[in-house]
Amino acid sequence: MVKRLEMIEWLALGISTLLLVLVYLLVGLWPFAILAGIPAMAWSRPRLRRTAWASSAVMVFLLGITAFGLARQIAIPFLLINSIPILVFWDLTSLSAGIPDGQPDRFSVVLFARHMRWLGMVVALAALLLILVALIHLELSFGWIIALTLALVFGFVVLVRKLSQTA
Amino acid sequence: MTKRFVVTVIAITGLILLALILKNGFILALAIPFILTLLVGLIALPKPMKIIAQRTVDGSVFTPNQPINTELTLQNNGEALERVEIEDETFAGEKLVEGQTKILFALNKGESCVLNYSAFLTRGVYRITHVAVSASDPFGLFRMVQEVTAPAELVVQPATPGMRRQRLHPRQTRNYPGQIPSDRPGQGMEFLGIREYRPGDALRHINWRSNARHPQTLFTNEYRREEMADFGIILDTRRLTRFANMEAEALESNVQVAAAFAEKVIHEGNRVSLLVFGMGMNSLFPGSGKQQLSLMLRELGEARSSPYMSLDFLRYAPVRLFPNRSTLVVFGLMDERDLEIYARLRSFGYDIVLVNQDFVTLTSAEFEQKSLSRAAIRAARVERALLLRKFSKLGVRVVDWAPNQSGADVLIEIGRQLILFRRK
Repeated sequence: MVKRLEMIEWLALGISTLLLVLVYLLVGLWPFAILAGIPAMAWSRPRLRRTAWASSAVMVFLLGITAFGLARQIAIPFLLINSIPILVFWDLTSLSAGIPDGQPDRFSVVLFARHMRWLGMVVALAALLLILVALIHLELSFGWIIALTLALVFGFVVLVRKLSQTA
Repeated sequence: MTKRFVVTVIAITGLILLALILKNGFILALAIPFILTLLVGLIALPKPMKIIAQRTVDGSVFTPNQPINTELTLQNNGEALERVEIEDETFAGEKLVEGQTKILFALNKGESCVLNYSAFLTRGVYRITHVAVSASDPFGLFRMVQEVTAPAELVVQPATPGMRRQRLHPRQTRNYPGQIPSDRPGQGMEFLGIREYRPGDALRHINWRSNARHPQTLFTNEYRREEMADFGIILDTRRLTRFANMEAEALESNVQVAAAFAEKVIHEGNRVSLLVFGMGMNSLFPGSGKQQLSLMLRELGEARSSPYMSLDFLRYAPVRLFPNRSTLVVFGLMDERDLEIYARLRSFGYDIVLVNQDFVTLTSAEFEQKSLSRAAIRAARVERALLLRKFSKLGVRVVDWAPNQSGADVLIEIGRQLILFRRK
């Protein structure tokens, strides 16, 4: 089961890397295409894969490169969708890291099925929202953005406080 | 909250800040999948768990070479749990033979899960009270930990070295029938001497050869009465040097030999008491039989090395612990500060055998590797030899346990030293 998880991880990482490399190559930003290939190459090293922070670092790196492309306004729909394979990769690496070595498949199969159901839901919803973002163009004033950000920050603070109280 | 939650929040915040700095809404949109995972995590937050655990172990007393088969059954009587992690911490880091002590799985409402594992445990008494169960949302962002009661008590007795057939012959015995030939005449097998015939003596004990030499008098053979003896075992767990690891190894060997000695003493029908001397003094009053042996092995199984404290505290030990005419066998290191208390014990009439590992030879290997002065090692050897002599002068028999000697050899040597007390 862990091998199956690793296969999907690799698939997600491959899709994300390929997407970024192709986008940057087509635009002519080849140094960034090389940069985009680095996480996949690094991930192929088993020693690095075993470290706890490696998948988070790969996720942040890929998000950074994607964000750079979006900042340059290139291939926006592809780069937006790229956040989904990045999330899938990061989520599955943490799941497979949590499964103890040699765990019998009878335990992993149910866990995997249920996890994939939730992940599938998130992926479908995220894809829908990202497509909407790519299609619908909304212009908000700076004040609105600040207000929304403050609301978001306030929401986070309330959430963290509530969680720490329940803990 | 977990590390994963922190990373998710950092990723979302970073993207929002970047979007604000660059005034780019698409970068903000990159955070959507991560915000969704956070929301799903909140929606599927684990409810308070209602898990019942039951632990079944195939016994309660084990040896370090015996695998402990455990079956842990968990029944979920609450809501379905998307992600549950169970870890049996007692067996964490132990030598696992089969199965798993830690699993990650999903558990539906009313469902149960059975965990089977087999592991070797090191010497000790394990009082297991609970098993740690942690439930989290599907993405592992929020975690709830609960300790589910699953009690068990496991006693892992020390491994005992193989014993050769050799009888113990302590000098001092008690007036109760046993197996040790004493210096008193009575019913027995071992020849003690000849005395003049008294009416009532068995005719088969008449010594006809002596009668032939002295025709006017009749002589009878006398035999040694077979009696039981009192033994006291003192296990010294104090740390006397700065070589904590080596002392721990030495303690382990001492525990094994002490256990084997106790087994032998009880097997021969004698009484034995135990004192585990250290920061916490555990004692066992004199007794014999299987139950006493079981209690002794349990106490020895629990022995752990302790910080230094003066052996002088022995004077506060209960008088009944070591009855008169006992033979004390002390397992531990030699220390000059203990001479006074050994002298005191000798003055009470105890025969003392001190089983002492040659710590200088043990540690010198490490010194030689570090190419430190060989003169220092020689000085330590001389110091130890002098100390040995001081102990001998007090009448304490020292079993000098060389590093290449096995536990069985040491047991033989203890027996030999006990005989030497008789010849004195």
